[in-house]
Amino acid sequence: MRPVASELSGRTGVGGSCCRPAALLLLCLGFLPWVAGCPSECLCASDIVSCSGRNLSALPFDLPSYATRLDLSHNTLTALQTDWLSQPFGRLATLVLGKNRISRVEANAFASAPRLLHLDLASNRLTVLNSSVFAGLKELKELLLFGNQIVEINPESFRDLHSLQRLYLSSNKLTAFPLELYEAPGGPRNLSFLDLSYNRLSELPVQSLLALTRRGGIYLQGNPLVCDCAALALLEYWVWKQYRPLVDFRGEYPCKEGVGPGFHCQRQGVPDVPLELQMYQVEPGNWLRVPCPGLTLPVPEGQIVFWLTPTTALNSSAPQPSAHLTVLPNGTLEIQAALIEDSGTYACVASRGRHYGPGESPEVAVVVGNLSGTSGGGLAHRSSAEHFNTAFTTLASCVVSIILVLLYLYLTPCRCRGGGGSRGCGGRAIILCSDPREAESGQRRSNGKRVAFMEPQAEDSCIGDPKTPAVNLDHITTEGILKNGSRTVEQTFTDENSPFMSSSAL
Amino acid sequence: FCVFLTWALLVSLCTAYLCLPGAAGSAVNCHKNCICASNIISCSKMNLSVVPTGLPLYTAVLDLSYNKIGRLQSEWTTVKLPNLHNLLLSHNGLHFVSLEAFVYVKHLRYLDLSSNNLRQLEEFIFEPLVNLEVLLLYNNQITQIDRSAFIGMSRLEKLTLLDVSSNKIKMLRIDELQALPAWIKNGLYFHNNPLLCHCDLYTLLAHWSIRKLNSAVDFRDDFTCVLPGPEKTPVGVFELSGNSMNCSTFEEKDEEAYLKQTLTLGCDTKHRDMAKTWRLPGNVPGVKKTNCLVVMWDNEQDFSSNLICST
Repeated sequence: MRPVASELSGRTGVGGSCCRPAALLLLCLGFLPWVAGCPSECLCASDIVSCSGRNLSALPFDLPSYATRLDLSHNTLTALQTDWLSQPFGRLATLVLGKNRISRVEANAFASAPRLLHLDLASNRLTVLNSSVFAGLKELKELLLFGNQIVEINPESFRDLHSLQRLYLSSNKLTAFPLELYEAPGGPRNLSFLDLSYNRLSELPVQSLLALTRRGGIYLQGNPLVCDCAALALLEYWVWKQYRPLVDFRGEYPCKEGVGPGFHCQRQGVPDVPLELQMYQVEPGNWLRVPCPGLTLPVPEGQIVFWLTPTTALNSSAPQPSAHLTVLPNGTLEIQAALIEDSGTYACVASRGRHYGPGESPEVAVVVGNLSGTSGGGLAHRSSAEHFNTAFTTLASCVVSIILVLLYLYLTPCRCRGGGGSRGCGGRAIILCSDPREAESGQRRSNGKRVAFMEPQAEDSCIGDPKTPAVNLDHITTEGILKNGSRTVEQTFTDENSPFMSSSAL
Repeated sequence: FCVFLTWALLVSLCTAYLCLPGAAGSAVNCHKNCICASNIISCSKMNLSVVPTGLPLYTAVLDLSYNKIGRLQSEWTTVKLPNLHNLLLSHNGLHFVSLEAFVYVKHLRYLDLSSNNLRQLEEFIFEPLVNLEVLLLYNNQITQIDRSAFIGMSRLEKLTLLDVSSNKIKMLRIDELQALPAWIKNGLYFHNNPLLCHCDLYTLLAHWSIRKLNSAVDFRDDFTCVLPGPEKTPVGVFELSGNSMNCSTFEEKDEEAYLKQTLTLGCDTKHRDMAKTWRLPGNVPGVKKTNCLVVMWDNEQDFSSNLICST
């Protein structure tokens, strides 16, 4: 009923007192969600409705329904009731509610904006995410919740967010990693950016995080992580893998290189066992045991060794002897009855307490196939690839130097006869003409024609109109060295006094 | 001893003055002057008078709205910010933007300069922003748009929204506007400006309205212009065909041609990257050349037919 009230207040002098009930009725009947004008508290520009910074404590009435972006930031909203968006916003794609005082969001609060793509609730006072708070936002791609005081995330709260790709939960008070984001049914299918920095996470579900590494960036900087062996192993692997969050925020992770408070991992003595990329081959149906590279045995008490397989992640704490893939207590990966699909790269993630040198790798390539098919091994393949590369670069550089030598040797000053003599000419010109159509205008040239540098000496050493190729240079017919279909390069003609200008346009 | 005391006092005053905040640019501080959420750096409403220095290279969104940044110098960033794609500078009282302000942020997609005090924009400021999709200039004090601005706009190939509404623009070059492709016209908003009334303006907006271009349809009532004369009363542009200036009502004309004449019909649409085809009535054959459909008629009676361009 609120919109109708504003209709009445906006209209002055609708009619006499006797007509007012009729007018009221008319307005009641006539009110349809039509394109409303811009409320006075807001600025309507293009499809953006900006009501920011107006000290609003409630949504203005009669917002235009064509709005694609609604900005209500920097106001004093405190709660979002279920029907706070009093009109349907079918086109709304961006809703900005940051920098308010919102502490409570009721269920289905955003159901009137089902096409929302970007929702900003940053810098508010939220403490809990209830279930159904984001109900109906099936197309939402980006959700900003940083700078709140969120302690708890209800596992059902992300139930409808199928399309969510980027979630910012930085600077909150979370104490547990929200694994339900990835595990709840109906939750985000393609979450590629999760920011959990500056929370209160101390324990990490390392095995699950390992498996999620491939999905995208999980940002954990600024958390008071306990530096146990598992966390150290994870960070060590991420650093080696050049995982984006570690590349950008390395300095803000605790557990640096064995120093720091709360360091709870018994380090092994570090033998200098080089970690080369290893390759294992097995025939289908056989079993394979892959020892963990660079791990000195025996494994210290309490240390867990993780293996990241092409499909999942495993650890050594609970070996299952009958499973297809299992990790033995000493860190060795065991593949029973190998299948072709088991081929791929496997990484052994453990806290080795060492820097990785160039070319060192905790990864292992496993190939399941018939031995007759492949030759040598991954290492041989790799070196042959390297040889091929170096050979190719050497060949290429030889060819380039030969070309340069030929260029130099076959350059002769060229002299042209007459033609455009009135133009003073000086400087040098390089003409490159390999466009076959140029040949049609009289000259018989099949390939590109290469023309000399010209010294600024004689008056008649000039080339005529740049539009037509020089008529008088038949004697220069080297093979087109640069045989692409490029057009004639524009020539620059400079006065003798002005500095040399070369033109090259390819 | 007194001399020494006064000298020490002077020195300390001098150093205190130099250390005053605002005298030199302060760096980004994720605990004091900005909120950092990985690649979003939000420094809005922090009383800043210059852009904080030391912006990290991974910054994707930089929010500097509601501050007091009056001038955007060319050195607001001294290094390339290859990941920056949203820059928010609204509500700053910005009155000067350096010509080289955007050379280091070529990947910018969304630039919000709205609600500032910009009076004019040099024509080439936005040239480096080849990836720009949205440019918001509404609610400034812009009095004129340089004639190359619209040409430059078609060069910014990804620009889908240019908003110069709520400014102080009096004159627009109607012919250049009309020549823009439809997809740009769809995203060009200039309502709520003190435009001078002119029948050409009415024709332009009526045409856009018939073509259902968003800019004309959504703001039909907000397109006002000022009648020539001392009173300077604003009237709606769409009312110009009636009493005010008696502009001829706009209708889309039929095309007419004589025998043996070549007639070229354009097919433009506000949606981008669409394949367009012409539907010819009856069995009139057409020969397809590049980008053109050549139709030859021999008889006069075939002329009065509808050619439908569909996407």
